[in-house]
Amino acid sequence: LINGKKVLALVVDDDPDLLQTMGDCLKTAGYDVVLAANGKLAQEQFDKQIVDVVISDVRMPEMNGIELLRHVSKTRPTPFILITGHTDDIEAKEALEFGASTFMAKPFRSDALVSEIQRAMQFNRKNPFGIRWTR
Amino acid sequence: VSDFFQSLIDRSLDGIMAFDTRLVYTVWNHAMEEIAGVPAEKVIGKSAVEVFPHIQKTGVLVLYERVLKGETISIVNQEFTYLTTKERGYYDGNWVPIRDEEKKIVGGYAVISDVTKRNRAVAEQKQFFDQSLDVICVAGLDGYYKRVNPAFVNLIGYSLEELLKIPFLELIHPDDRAAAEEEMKKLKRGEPIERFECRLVCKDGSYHWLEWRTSVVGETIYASGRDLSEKKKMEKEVAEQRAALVFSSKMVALGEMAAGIAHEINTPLAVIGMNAGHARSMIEADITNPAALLRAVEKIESTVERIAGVVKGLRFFARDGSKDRFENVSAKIVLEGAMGLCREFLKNKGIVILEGEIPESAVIRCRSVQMSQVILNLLNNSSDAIEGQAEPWVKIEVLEQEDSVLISITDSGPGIDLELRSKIMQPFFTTKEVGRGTGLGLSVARGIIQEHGGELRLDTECPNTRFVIELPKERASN
Repeated sequence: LINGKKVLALVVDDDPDLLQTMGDCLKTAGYDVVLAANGKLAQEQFDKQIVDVVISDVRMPEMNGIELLRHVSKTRPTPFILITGHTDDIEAKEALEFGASTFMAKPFRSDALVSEIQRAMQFNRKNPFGIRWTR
Repeated sequence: VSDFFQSLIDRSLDGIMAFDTRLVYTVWNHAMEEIAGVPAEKVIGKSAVEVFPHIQKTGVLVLYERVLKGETISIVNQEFTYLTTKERGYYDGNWVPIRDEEKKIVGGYAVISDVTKRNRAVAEQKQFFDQSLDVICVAGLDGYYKRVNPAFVNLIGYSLEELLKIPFLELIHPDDRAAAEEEMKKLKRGEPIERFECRLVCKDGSYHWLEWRTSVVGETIYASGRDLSEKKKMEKEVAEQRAALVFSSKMVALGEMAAGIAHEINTPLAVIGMNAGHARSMIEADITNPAALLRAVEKIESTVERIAGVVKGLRFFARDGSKDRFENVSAKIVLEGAMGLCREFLKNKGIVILEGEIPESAVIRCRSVQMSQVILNLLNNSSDAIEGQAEPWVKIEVLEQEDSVLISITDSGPGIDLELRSKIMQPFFTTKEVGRGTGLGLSVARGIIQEHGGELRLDTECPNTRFVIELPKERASN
């Protein structure tokens, strides 16, 4: 809860199964959730409302996660968690340079996702420029 | 001498000459002029020793003298020297005494045949026969060799004597014998054989591939055979190397897709992980919601199947399909199989896949593993070529024709430059940067399509880059 309101998470993935599952898990964990199937739709949602955290896949059609991250970084210091099926370091490094809070490699467990969200939001409040990444 | 005999002598193809007891020439016909190189007017009325002083040394003079003593002499292959050219020649000749009515010897005559050319031809023939690297043999329609050259003896290991006693069909590899018997029928009808390949079994049990050319004159067969063993061995090696190349180029294509495949597996694994976690947290928190729990479990099950599908596709692709049987398969199924592997890979590069018309009824006769490889190679090329374009796309279409099926793969590229068109199908030709392409994709793809009795070509009419695979339609299996 932030100021008595549920945390609003914007979840972005072009894989409908994973998108749905992440949404379900986060709802169960007590979050409010907005879902988007690609970066472009996510950008629209992001501009429409103030979300507390963004969880986004990297490679997506229309607009990818890095582009979305750029847009978010330019707009508000919202914690941003990148998730990807590719485990190469170059992408991770890039993601952090672009201001991602955390980089998560698929597959991951639901409790890991929740704790990463919590950590990202915590670190973000205490240290807006603090950067961590984890598996 | 009567006019008749005079004409006979003049027109004889053999040289005819006569001389009296003093060795003075009385007859010297036209053929004799040719052989000796001396015209009649320089000979007639003159003695042999006068015209040909050297005959005393060469021993020919003795012949004259023996004839004048009453001896008839046949000479074969007598060496002589052409007076004009000083070259060595050979003649066959009959030397006969001439007697008058009282049987008294009054002279002699000789009939001379120049066999120089014949001898030379025979000698040359023998040289070729003996020195030929190819095997040469003369055989009879009775089934036995009559003559074979040294190359033949060396190849087969039997001695000449042994060879002449073995029916030649017995020396042909049992698997080729039926075909050889068919060829024998042709020979018996007097027809030549332009080309016939069979294996000869050697004395040591090994065999050699030979390519034969054979003709028949009367009862005699003339055959020359070329040892193809080295060629066959090389062909086999080339085929094996080619298969290895095909396989390695496939592995390269697979490597290029590995990133996409990792994603293809990791994403559903995340779905499983999250659902498992979801279920666990519900249980741990004692939330009794069987419907939600069931939903999580079902999701896990269906996602496991999704991963299994990807792995199956991978195994299917990584397998060497070159020895699979040809099967009648729906073009749609083959294409969907191949696309399943490429979808993620193309999507990652931002390439949009336009699903064109794929009629359900189109059935092709193919090895599906190999066909997927062809599709994959083409899509790989497309993605390399159009990656980074503003709006890259690929389109797959299938067109059913009367007796063929056309599969076209079009991408948003501008087509292929005129000067590159002839090269792109060549092995190892690539326009890709070092380390990105083997230059084998298209040549391998074309090889595969040709094995399928089809054709892979660039559609030069299309404003975009379009490759068309034409395949024969299904064949009714019997």
